[in-house]
Amino acid sequence: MLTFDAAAHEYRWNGRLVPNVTRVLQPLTDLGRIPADALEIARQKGVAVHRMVDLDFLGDLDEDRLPEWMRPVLDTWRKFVAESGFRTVVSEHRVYHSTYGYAGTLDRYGELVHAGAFAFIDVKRSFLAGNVIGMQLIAYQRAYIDQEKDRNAKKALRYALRLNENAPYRLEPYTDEDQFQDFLACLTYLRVRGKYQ
Amino acid sequence: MNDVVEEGRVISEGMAVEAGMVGLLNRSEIDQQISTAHKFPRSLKRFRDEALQMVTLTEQIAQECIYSLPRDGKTIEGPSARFAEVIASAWGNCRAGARVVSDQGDFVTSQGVFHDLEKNVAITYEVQRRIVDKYGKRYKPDMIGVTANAACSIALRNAVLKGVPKAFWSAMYQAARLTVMGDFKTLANRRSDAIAEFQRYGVLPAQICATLNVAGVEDIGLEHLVTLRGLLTAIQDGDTTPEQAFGKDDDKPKVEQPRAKSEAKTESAAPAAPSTPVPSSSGVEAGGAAPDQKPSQGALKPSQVRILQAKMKTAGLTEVDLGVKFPGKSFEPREGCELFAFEAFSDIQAWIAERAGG
Repeated sequence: MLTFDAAAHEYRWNGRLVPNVTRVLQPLTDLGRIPADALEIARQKGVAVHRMVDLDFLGDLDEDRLPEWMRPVLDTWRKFVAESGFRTVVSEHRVYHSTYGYAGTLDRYGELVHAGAFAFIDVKRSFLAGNVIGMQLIAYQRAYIDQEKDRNAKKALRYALRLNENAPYRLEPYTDEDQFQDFLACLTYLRVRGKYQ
Repeated sequence: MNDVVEEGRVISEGMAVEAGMVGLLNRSEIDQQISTAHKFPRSLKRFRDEALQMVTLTEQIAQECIYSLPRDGKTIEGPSARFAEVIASAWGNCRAGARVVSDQGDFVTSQGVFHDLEKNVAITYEVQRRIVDKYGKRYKPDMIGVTANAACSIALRNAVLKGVPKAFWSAMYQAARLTVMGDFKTLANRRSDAIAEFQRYGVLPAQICATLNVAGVEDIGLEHLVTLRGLLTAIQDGDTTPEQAFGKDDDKPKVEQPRAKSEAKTESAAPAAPSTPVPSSSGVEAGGAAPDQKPSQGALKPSQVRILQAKMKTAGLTEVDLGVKFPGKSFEPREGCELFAFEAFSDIQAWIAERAGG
């Protein structure tokens, strides 16, 4: 069984510590040049946007007390839902890949009704991480397929959805299937590093 | 040093570990020290007098004998490495040292050793310090060295203060505290001196007051003065930094987070909870529920129903299957059926996952 310790941000499969997708891809995302304060604000804003989207999907968002800076983000999110007809199947869903032994929490998976396709969508405030987002998405997709045996997920598309307070939404597709091999290389690197440390 | 002492007799076991000339020299050196210690045994009175004199010699020395560190919103205080040096020196007839025993992985491990040559008691104490940052990145070699030295200093202090029984030094520690504290006549001057010293580190009086949990500078009392001096020692010894000692979580940038409607309901209901249980609309008595029993949140939300329906579709399940598994329950209002409760979400999910897996 997969368990998650939120305080330590650790995933365990039947009690054994397993690597998570974010940790695996960490060596590829060097944010050392960004000032610590700016990074902290960006992190907190990212958390806020994820929470807002999740609460809105559950119909539990308290709009009266929504922070002012988030109102345009909410409008942008709703515009995306209206234009794409996106219907969430799962959100903030923990997954584990039994073959490769990694875990993570996928952002959302659902149906783009107007496009007639299922899709994995990762909400981002910016595309700064570049291709790493694609690796992250494919890692979640493969783990979800492995765990849920969902036939629709196999053919699902992968997108990063940019939502921030300063720009309209943008849906960035990631189609490169080879990115899973890149992710597995990072996973191997993490394991080898741990072994020789 | 592989000899075993049994009932006062020394049984030689050879020198398997410290073989060679260095080991031999080391061994003869210690033997010589033990012989000297037995020849000139310590006087406990002299130890008490000397230690007391040293720790209270000046206000500066007394201050260096105390450290304070902020931990989990409280400030812990104790005898410092300088105090341990005084105690080891006054105790006499002893050997003490510290060394790094490991710097592999995420931690550096230092070992402090205290050997009472007269009583033939040796204490070792190990201290670990993290050498990776919050991103899991290993420190640079210079920083590992600094961290290892700090760990050695703490390990040595702990070994000395365990080797010399507390009963012998606690009075000296209290004397050092009293020296730092002064009396009410000198309080105002000492307070302003301490604040001035913190200003050198860029710490403002308001930050000091917040850390000590006092309303203003005038409320800093004698006991607070000891804590402040201890914090200064800890900063000077590298055990903490001004940012760690006086930085609050509030200093971090805070981004306001969105709230859930259900949270708002809980917040507004909590203070208004009457002392006498009042039946709520769901039939559960407010405030009367068992502690681990979650309050009912009504029926499933439409979004949850959509999720479950989509999952059922994927798993090839129909509402008929659902009715067989959960008789008398339904997603939509139907005659003879109750709506699924909010809490049933995870049960239904588990059932779908089980069927999909099968």
